[in-house]
Amino acid sequence: MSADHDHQLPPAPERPDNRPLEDAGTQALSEALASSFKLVKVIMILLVVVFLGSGIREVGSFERAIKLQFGKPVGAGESALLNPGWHWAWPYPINEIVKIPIGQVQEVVSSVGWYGRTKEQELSGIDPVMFPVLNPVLDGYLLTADGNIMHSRATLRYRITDAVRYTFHFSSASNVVKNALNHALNHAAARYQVDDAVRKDLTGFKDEVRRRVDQTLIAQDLGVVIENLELNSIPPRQVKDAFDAVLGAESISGTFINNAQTAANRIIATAAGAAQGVVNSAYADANRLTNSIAADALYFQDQLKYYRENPELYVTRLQAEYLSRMMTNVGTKIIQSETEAGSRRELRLQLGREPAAPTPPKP
Amino acid sequence: MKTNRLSMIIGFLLIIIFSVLLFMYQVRVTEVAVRTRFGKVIAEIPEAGVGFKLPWPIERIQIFDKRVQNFEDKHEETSTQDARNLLVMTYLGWSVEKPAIFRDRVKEGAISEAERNLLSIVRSAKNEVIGHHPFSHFINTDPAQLKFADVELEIFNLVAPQALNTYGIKIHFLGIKRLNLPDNITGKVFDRMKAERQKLVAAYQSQGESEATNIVTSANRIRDEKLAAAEGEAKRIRGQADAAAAASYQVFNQAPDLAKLLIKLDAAEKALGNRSTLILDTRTSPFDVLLPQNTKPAEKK
Repeated sequence: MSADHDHQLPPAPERPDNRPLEDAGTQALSEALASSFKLVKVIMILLVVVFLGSGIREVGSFERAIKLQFGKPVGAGESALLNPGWHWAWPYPINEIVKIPIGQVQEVVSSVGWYGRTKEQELSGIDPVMFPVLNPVLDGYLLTADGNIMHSRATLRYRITDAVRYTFHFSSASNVVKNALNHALNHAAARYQVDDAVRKDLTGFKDEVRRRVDQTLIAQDLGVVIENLELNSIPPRQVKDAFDAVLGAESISGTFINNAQTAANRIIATAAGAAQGVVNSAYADANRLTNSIAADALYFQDQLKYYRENPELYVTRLQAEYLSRMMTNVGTKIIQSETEAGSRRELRLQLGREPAAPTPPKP
Repeated sequence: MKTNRLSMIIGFLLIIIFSVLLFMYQVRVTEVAVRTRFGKVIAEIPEAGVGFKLPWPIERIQIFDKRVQNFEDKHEETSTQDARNLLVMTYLGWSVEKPAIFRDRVKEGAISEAERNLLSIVRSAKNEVIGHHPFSHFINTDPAQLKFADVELEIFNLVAPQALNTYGIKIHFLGIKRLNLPDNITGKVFDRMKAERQKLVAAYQSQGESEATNIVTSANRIRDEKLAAAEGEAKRIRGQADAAAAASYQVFNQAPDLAKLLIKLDAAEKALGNRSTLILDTRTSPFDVLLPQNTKPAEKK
């Protein structure tokens, strides 16, 4: 054993040096890690870039926006609004950009005054089947001041003037506006008679609705202003024929009145002409009389000197002159001579129209 | 070394993010919140912004929507003072005013739960107020009799304090959205409307005829008045002419005999027309020259 122990074993063959192999592996791993780390770094940088860029928002041409910083609007009033274009903000939760359709005119349609129609029926313009009564679940309508029923549909267009209040103070501001419109329709109808609201005083009814909506929106401080209101009011379909009959009767009555007015105008115009004729005739008579008297006076003045020279002769001459003219003009002249004894003579006359002269026979 | 620095930065960032999540909170402009410590409310946070808190489970921030919510109750039948049945639907705007009360009284602080509670309050107030008003207060041709807005205000005054004290809810506005009649009543209203229209038709017909007659009669009266006025005017004109003529007659006073003669001769000439018959006797000048006594030659002296 000792011998064995003493025996010098040949030196073990030297293990081949595996260091280069380990280095290559480590190096490869290191390189892989390094490249992975680089990739991770690139990804991280990209993530950071994406994160920083995630706050970029585009505000459209018909929009405005408000930037929130830690939940509060940055700025107040008009200065809080971001104009159309690209805007950068820190990502949530630091900043947040909330868009507001402030440039657009908003529109709401009332939902309480019209009979029930499906969207398809609305689009096609076809009315649903009419029942003798209105179903309050399906059919909307308004009660008028005279206890009647009417249908009314209003379309309200409005603009947002206080975007911060409109957007952040109400969960659904458009629904609040719609209810203000519904409310106004009920209020206005409650003080208008059905005939006035649907026909005679459409403008007054519309103005009342608008006034009431305006009043409500101001009281609720919604931050909006009304652009315009469209209103369509009709009697219920169930009584449409009765309303048409009234229109027809009114039209006939109007025709009667128009005809009478025409006749009256003619009577008055004719009377005015006749009255003017009477006055003109009076003026003519007056002129004639005045001129005639003036002429007589002139003639008298001329003749006066001849008369004064020899009145008897002048009178005789004048009588003879007149008689001569008269005798020339009159149709029948009878000179009755006096009898010697002074007794009366009898003269017979046949008075009356002369018989028509016989027409000569036609050749 | 480089790697370590980067790791440190990342770690530091993670610590910051984690700390922010643990120790900070944010309340948006549309929100209101309460801070609780071990489940008990220690503060209300009514304004938007960021703040510090102790980490969960010590402190917790409970956030609620503070915007005005639009709520509509059910379209239910109720009765007026004069026993008229009406279907009334109201709408109201509400928001969380006292978040601590709201958190405690409204299950999970949910909007739907809050509105379920509101429905009960509104229904009760609506029935009570409408029951104190006659039907004529809801619709009336006389604005002085119309109490529509008063009814709404009375319902509001009942609902608002109750909602605030019980649920921490503020009522901003309340109004009647729908006011209708039961469906069987609408049929009767239609019958009445038709009857009213028939009366109107008859009224328009008679009114048209009557008005037409009035117009023509009135025109005839105007015609008579115009003609009478014209006659009067004519008389006045002729009177003026006569007065003017009378002034001209002054000249005849110089020789009244001659004037009378001329007037008479003129009148006689005008009176005799073409078909007149003129009978004279021989004593009338100048035919008197034909009398025998006038034909004898004058005796010589």
